[in-house]
Amino acid sequence: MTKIQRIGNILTGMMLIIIGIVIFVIPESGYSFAIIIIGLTMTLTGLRLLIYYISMARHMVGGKIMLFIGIIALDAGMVSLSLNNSPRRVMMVYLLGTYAFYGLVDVLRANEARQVGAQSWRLKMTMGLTNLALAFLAGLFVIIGKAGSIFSFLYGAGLLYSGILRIVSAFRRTSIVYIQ
Amino acid sequence: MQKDFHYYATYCAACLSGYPHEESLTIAYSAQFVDLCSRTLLSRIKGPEQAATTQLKLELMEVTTNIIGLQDITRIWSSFHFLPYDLSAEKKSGRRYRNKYRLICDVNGDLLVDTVELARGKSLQAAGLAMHVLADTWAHRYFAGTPSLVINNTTNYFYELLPEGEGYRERPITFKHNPMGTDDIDHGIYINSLYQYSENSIMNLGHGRAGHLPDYSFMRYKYLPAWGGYAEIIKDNPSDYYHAFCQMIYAMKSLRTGSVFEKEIYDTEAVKPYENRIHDILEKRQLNACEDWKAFGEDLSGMEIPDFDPDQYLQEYAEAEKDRKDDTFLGRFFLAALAQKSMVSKKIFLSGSLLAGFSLNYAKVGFKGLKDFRKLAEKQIEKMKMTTKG
Amino acid sequence: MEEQIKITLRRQEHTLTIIGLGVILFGFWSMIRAAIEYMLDSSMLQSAFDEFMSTLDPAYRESITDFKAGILFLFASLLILSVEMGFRLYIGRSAMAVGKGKNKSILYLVAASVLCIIYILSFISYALALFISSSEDVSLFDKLVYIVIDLTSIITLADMIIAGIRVRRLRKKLSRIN
Repeated sequence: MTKIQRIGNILTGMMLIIIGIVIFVIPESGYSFAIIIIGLTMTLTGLRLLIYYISMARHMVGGKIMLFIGIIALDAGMVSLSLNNSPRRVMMVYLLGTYAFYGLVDVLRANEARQVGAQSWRLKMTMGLTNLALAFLAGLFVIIGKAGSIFSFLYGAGLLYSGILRIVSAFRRTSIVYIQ
Repeated sequence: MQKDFHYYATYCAACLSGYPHEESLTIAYSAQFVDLCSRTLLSRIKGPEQAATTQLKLELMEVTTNIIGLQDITRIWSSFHFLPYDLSAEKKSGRRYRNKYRLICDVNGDLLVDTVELARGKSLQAAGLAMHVLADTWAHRYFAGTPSLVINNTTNYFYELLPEGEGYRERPITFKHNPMGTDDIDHGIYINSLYQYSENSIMNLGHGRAGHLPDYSFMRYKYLPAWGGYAEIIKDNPSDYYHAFCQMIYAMKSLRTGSVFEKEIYDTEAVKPYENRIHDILEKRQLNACEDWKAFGEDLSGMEIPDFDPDQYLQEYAEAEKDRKDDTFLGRFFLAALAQKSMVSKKIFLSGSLLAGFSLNYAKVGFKGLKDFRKLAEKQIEKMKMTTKG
Repeated sequence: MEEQIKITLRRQEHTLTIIGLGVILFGFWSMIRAAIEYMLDSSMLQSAFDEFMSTLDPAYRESITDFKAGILFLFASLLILSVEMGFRLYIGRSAMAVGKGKNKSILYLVAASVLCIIYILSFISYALALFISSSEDVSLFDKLVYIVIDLTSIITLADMIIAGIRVRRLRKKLSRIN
């Protein structure tokens, strides 16, 4: 890892931790914050895919599909950002859907890992099932009108965890020796 | 390639190049061991972690595809299974694409000469390791030893060429993703890795997207490689494996006798008496040709070839004294693996790519980095001192 | 020479297949986006309903109940969405079929041209709206989003039309050689 990459990882990790803490401390604004982050993430994913298409995938047989995936992700991100002014109930349903989607993806990936016999499948499965269970519980709370600021706490905790992992990975060594 | 070629066929090639039975077994064992020497195995015997020449499926599932993980994967797979053909290939593209493009494996590259030369004057284990790398350049050509969607992906334009009369009949190949399944060669249904649109996904490593097809000696097929600009490639495994076999004989003769090793030379004279038999083995539609190659080898040498036992030398290494480990069977293999990995990674680094990580000039900056390579540095210094004294 | 034609033909066929798939995927995404924007956000839904009601005859508008008006609006929305989706499905599926060599029709190219023109008009209207300030319901951010989407759609549809024409020409050339 180059020095710049390490610094980048550390800064990103710190930013995630700070945002996670802010969401914890100000749960009332947490919803908007979370929607903005999700929207920005999806928009950036779309942009990243478009850049990937221009720099790499356009050379690949069948690479044009990346262009479409990038456009759809970009559009989805922008739609997410435009929902920021919507009623809280709307945003909570949207967040619920996002957690359910990622939970399902984690469960499917964990199943794949389990079939191959990888040890990591348990952790992935736990994460996926937790996401799905939380989405379901939160849905229940939405229906009975007592969701409160549970999403703020959950989302903040997720950001804290991601930030810590980033900083840890920034300190891993990477170099080899050759003989001359 | 599989055990049938790496172990048994390499034994046959070693015999034909003039090695006696025991030495041929050592070479063949080492060639096959390249496909087994994983970190999991090394941790069992407390061997040097960086001497890993392969990664198990389980290990690959655990790897995080961040920059560190990717470099580790590339070092292993490019060094031992997908030797890059041309690290200075030009391509009208950005640097990122070009660096990956340059890792595409193909036969008779400059790195192949370097690989054989690296084994010269070294142990039989080094020769065996070099033969594995050489053989894999034929089987795994057109794929790269780094996770890359844009290089290693395949499309559904994939047809098997079945011999019919004077020509071939095309049969579409159906790929299914089922990690626990087996290939159905009668109906043209094969297992491959799952399509993942992420560039650095493990599913896009090597020839995963083409399943085991490159490893079957009988397979002939045509497809569109992701990097090929829609040009069709016809992969004729019987021909490629035959060339691999003849080139191995030439390479091992070169190592044994001290003659120069050059690219694009194949010792077809040595195999002439057995040409038909070899072609029959290569063309036979079977998932595993071990029995046929074994029978051929035993006919050549008149000696019995033991079944490959992956645990055969583990105890010797594990129980050896620390300062005697390098003299054990596996100790010599590990040194050869470290040297090969170091050489290839250095070449990739010098081409301007960081895909295999950094390489440092030991003479200028001293020892830094992964400690397993220290023993390689020390051996080189020892050798330099002896050369200076002499 | 023949090999080069085959390579170019494969490239264009792939382009057709992928863009055809892209047109369909984008159609589905547009439906999902409409569902998110109109059904989850009551203010947008209300303004769309009001706009629909303003197109009806005032006398008829007065005579029907709110419930009936709602059903009419729902039916009209579904009809418009179905027509749009059907149009896209036809273009997409035809392009994919031609790309795979299962179809030789050119009608889908005409349909694609019509869709392209619609996008061009939409692009022009949003581009002009960026510079002309008027009372509008659409924010600057949304306008930029629509401009980006329209521009990309124009480029991909143009790419599809060009690929469709080239595939026909190359196939004829190849059959003449063979």
